[in-house]
Amino acid sequence: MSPKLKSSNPQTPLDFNTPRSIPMTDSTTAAPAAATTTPTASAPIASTPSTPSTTTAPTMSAPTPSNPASPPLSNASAALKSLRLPPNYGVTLGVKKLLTLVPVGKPKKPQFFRVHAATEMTFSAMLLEQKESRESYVVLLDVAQEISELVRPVQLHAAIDRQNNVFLIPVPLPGEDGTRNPWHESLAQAVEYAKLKWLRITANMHAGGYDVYEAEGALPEPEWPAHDIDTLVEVAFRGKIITSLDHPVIQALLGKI
Amino acid sequence: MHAATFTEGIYLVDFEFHPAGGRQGNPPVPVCLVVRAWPSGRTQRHWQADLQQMAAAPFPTGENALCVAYYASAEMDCFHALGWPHPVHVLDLFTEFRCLTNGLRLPYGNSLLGALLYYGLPSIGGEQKDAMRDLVLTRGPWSDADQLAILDYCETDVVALAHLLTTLQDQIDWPRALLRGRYMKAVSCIQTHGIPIDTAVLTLLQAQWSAIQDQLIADVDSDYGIFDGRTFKTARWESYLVAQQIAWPRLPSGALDLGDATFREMARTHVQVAPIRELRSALSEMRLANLHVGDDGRNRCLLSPFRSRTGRNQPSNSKFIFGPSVWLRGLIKPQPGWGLAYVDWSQQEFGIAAALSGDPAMMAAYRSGDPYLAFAIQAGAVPATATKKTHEFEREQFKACVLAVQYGMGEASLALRINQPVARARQLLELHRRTYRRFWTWSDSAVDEAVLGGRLWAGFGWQIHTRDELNDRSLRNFPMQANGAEMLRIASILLTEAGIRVCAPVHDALLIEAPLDELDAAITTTKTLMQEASRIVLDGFELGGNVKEVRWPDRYMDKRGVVMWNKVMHLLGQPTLA
Repeated sequence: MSPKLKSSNPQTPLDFNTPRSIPMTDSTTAAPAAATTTPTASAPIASTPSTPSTTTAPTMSAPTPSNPASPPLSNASAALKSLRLPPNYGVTLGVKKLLTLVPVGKPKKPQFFRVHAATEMTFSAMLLEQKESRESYVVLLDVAQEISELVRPVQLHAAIDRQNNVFLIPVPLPGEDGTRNPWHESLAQAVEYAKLKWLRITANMHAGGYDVYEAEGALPEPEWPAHDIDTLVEVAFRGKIITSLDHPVIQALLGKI
Repeated sequence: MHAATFTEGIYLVDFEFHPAGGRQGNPPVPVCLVVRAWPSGRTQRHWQADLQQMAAAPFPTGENALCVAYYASAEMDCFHALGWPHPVHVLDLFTEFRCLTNGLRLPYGNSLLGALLYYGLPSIGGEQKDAMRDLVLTRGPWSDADQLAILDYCETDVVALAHLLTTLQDQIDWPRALLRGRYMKAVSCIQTHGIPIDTAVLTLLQAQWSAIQDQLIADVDSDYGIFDGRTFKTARWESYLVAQQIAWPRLPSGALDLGDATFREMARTHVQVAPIRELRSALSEMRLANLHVGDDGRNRCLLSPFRSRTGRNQPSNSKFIFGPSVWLRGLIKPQPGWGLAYVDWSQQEFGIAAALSGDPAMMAAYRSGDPYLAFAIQAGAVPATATKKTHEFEREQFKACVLAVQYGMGEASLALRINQPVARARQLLELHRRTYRRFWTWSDSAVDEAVLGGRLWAGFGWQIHTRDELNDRSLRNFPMQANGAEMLRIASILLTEAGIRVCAPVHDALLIEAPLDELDAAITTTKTLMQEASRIVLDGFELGGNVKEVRWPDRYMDKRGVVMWNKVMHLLGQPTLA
């Protein structure tokens, strides 16, 4: 009968108990009867009232993950660690998020957004906006020339919100006289400012422009997806590119159907 | 490493045994042992009188031999009972069968019989097995014919082991399988030590529990009027909630959700609910007759290692002192001259998530010592100079958010938990996603791996097949829970092999004991080895922890149970805790 329940200590590469015996093993204090198969009477209950019974020592040293001050593992523990399997889930499966949706339009009232500062992340286009269905179409130039009163030239800016959703903001370009209406001018200014700060905008009907609100918190810089502007435009306008006057939307606008 | 590594042989082992004196909670008394060499089939059969004469196992147990068993902790308990040193290497085919099939639907369960049927291997019938077990449990004396029958029955199990090992040998991940076997030896040490129990108070409680229940109900329910005798009346509870204007979660059927988890959650935000929750818990979980306490006053039961899907131990709630209501933990009391220490890893799941995902912000939050406040600071919700004292309210909300993420809680549940609008809960969860982007990318990858790859794994090989498990919450939580289990296993191995007396593993903690004059040294060793275990599992990332000491004549107590403990002790005329 082993009075001391000490598991065997294999001196193998799997072993991590080399010279780690501790002083208590030399104790002469009798172990509780737990370690024997001979049942003994339980210890008498203390007659003194129990006092607040536990003390908490909030120590085990401050956590020091990957801290050079942390003691190195013993050879045996290092050998054990060598059995560790990395938690590199999904690495061999190569899962990546596909870009399937890029909305086009002004940011919504409560939506903080940023605009990509690079000029190559803008795209000039002739846009046909269907207010009723809230849909936008890109119209090829030769078609646009035929229906110039229905389309307008815009600059599409890549934008992103706090949830990392990418969208395109169309900013109407100035007319032939170099001016824009106050709403468009106000939007253009907000887009420029959003290249530096997180903003949200709301329409101010009395002032005839957008009120711009800047986020006060120290918000992190946006994490832009690795897509170029052509890809964003392609996804945003998939099925919404008008290449001829025969397009049903044009036909409807011209009253032909 | 593989089977051929063991040049001194591989030995398939099975004991028949019964608890000493027929009392659950006592150590086992081995009745017989059958050992079969594999693959030769050479067999030894030993009856108990022979076994008691032996100073060590009657087969090689050294560095170059392997001992194979099914549910090896039980066999190792018999080694302890006989005073034999444990084998150096143990392979447990139960743990390997569990590991290989975890997450799959097993038509016949995880028993040896179930494993044999699963692989279409020959076996004896379940009825015959039950009959022979009952014969062993009679504790003898057995006739010559009975002895022969018991030995024959015992031999059928080692023959079954031979079939199983032949089938599994090429599927077994040997190095990590031997580590699991090593843990089964540690489990045996822990089970054999058991937890010291104040048996005088336990006996009083058992004798007077019926009367105490009525007094407790009368005492607590006088402010509520919910009970009718010992029956909780749902309609009265509903009326009470209306009067108190408490919005209580409901089941899809529309009925009030009266589960204990809901009561626990609601008690956090509505303090007036807490006494009723404690009372219900005390009444429903108080099955003291089932608590396994041996003649020596120690709580011993199967720790049921590897039983849960995450690989955690899953001891019976009614047999294990840490299973029932927390106030009953006051029954844990060191024996005279001894002390206990409850040592845990602080915020273990947060630390594991930070280390495994490699999220630098999360790791920095853990390192700060207060990850909840650090999260609030990192999210920009409180100034960098904030402290627990200056921003307690915000810290509580961010703490609830961290825990909600760990539990896979949605915005509605979190809102209920923090007693705030759903919009606030949504905002907090969004802040977590933004602050710990790398963690979320890794967590998403875990779900992808589970769905596409069909399995997830922990650091030392515990795995789950996920073809039938597409619960997003469970999949995301698995790496934290399963690696937490690996960490506890490695710590248990380190501690028991260092000679520390471990009384119980408890989720993210270990309860140890030592003579009073050695307690400080034992605690120091325990802390050091638990830190080492965290670095082994988390690739160098070290988790901090806490120690709660109990020195005789004090008793252990969980602070959540003090009020109920004192109430019951008052009724029993016993000293209460301050």
